[in-house]
Amino acid sequence: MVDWTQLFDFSRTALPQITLAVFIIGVALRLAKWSSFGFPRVIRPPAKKSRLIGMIKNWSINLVPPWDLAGRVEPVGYVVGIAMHIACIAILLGAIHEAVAMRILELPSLPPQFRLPIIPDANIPTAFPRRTLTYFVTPLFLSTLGILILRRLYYNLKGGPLKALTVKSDWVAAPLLWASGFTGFLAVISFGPYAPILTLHLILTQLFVMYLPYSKLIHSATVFLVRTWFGFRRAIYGV
Amino acid sequence: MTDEVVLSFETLDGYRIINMETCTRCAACAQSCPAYAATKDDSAIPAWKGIEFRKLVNRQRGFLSALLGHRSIPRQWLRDISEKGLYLCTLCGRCMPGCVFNIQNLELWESLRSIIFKKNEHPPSLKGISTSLEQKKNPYDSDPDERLAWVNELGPANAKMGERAQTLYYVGCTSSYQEKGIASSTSTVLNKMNEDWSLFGRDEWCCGDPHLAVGDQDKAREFARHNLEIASSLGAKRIVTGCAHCYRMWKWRYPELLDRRHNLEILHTTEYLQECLKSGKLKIDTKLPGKLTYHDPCYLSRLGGIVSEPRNILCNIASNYVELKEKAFDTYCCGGGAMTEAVNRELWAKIGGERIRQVKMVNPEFLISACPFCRRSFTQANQRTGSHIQVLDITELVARQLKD
Repeated sequence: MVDWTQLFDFSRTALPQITLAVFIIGVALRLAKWSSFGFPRVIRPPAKKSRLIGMIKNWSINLVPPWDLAGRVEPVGYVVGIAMHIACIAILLGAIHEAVAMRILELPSLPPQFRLPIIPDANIPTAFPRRTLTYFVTPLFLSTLGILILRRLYYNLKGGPLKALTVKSDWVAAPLLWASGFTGFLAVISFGPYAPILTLHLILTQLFVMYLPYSKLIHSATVFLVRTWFGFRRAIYGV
Repeated sequence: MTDEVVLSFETLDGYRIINMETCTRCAACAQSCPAYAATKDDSAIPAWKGIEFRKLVNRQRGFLSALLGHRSIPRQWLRDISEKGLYLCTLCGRCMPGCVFNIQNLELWESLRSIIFKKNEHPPSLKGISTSLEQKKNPYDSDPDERLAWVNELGPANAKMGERAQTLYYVGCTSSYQEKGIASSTSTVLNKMNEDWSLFGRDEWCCGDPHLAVGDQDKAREFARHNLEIASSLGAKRIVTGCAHCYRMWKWRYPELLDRRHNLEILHTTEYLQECLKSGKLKIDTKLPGKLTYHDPCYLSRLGGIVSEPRNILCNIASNYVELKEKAFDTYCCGGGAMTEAVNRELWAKIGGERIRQVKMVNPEFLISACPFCRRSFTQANQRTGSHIQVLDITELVARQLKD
């Protein structure tokens, strides 16, 4: 029989420290690997356009890949993929916002004019619409991520490009993210036994954080570099 | 030959590794890749190559190798990559804007080709190109003395060869040996503009682009150095070329390869012609009747940065100019890049055929491009499909419409 109390304590005491250590080692190994290849200065003719503008454009009007290039053949993957990432970012930003807001509100010497307004019925003293996050964005995220996992499964059974591109770790990263999100959702809406679900959520989330720097989930960080570099490239070439 | 090899990743840097490790294997790149669309071969998908490349790197420089030490690579693995997907690619770079993260695959494939080349596992057809480049300074195994054969048709008095001049016309191998009409049209235009110009003459070597397709970066560097030395010895201030591949090499790759900027102004003929139009030197006689469309060569638009210039010229020439759906930065490949005609003729033909199919949707009388590789691919695809679209290079069209 699982002792949920002990497990819950473990997930809040020792596990976060293990998680942090594994995460930091992973990040350090990645950085060491990248830097072992060096970052040589590339000599090019002067850029045709401003690199800053190139970067901004690649993060704004060129953010979504063109439909004809990336969406026309498989529209479901395209639309669902975009929706999943928007939902994921909204959840992360919402969580960060909430954490920051809570910290600010806890400051004893905070002048009243800096205090955030309280939303009636929202159950938390911040301006963020938590209900939207819980009852719309999170289900959207879970369903779209679920579709993407099923999409990979479907093409692995049916055949097609995704089958050739699937490696073993693909069956860990997305399902782990989905499971941690799903248990978190169940805990927030108080579905089922609260303590075991919350414990499961804490463990899965920390496993996810540990796994992040060792897996393809690293794209959540490198995307900022890669898209910025491509924006630079477009600016240098003037296209 | 040993069955296990140790790879040197000297053509790989931190930027490229980060690009490579950002791939999530979502398969979006499969949709934008002309080679995959033509073959439906899974190993043609850019991400497939990325997976294999990453496995190679991780085998020697990954987390486990950091703990257990470097592990050697079975030679058969390199052979498989070479035979399967690596060369099922025209290096057109269309996967980059098609990727949700904008991973810069082009540089990755160049690195991987270089690694495979160093272990001598590149395809036999590319070995033939290497030999031809080494011995004859062109990829077509053609006699170097034949490089200037097109001048005889034009009349030797109409083209200075290897003389000091402000402007040098770099013809390029494909225009010299295969699409000679582009070379003679460019010469005609330069003469009409009273330009102080000369050809490189017998000292013109290949620009080095096929070397990069083969994976031989050292040779590409050697050819770049040679061509720059010749340009310098002839006192040139600027280079004009009609080939998109040569343009990209001169303008963008030579400084990268040689790690220094040169002082030459590099112009593609479309830039030169636009300059002449603006200054009033170039006067077009009559507008061309009939519908005309323009195919952006990948190496000129997406990989070269020239999009508006050819359009400005064509709008001055054509009475009925229409755009293709796949244009500018998102242009489709003609199939001719990375010496694909020599490496995989079937792939070359299929991609060219697909582009002609796209062109037919706007029903033009003329298909204009600005690269000899595109002209060649489309002319052949036209013949195969029985299409009546007239394929011309932009310089040929301008030479035809010039006011006397």
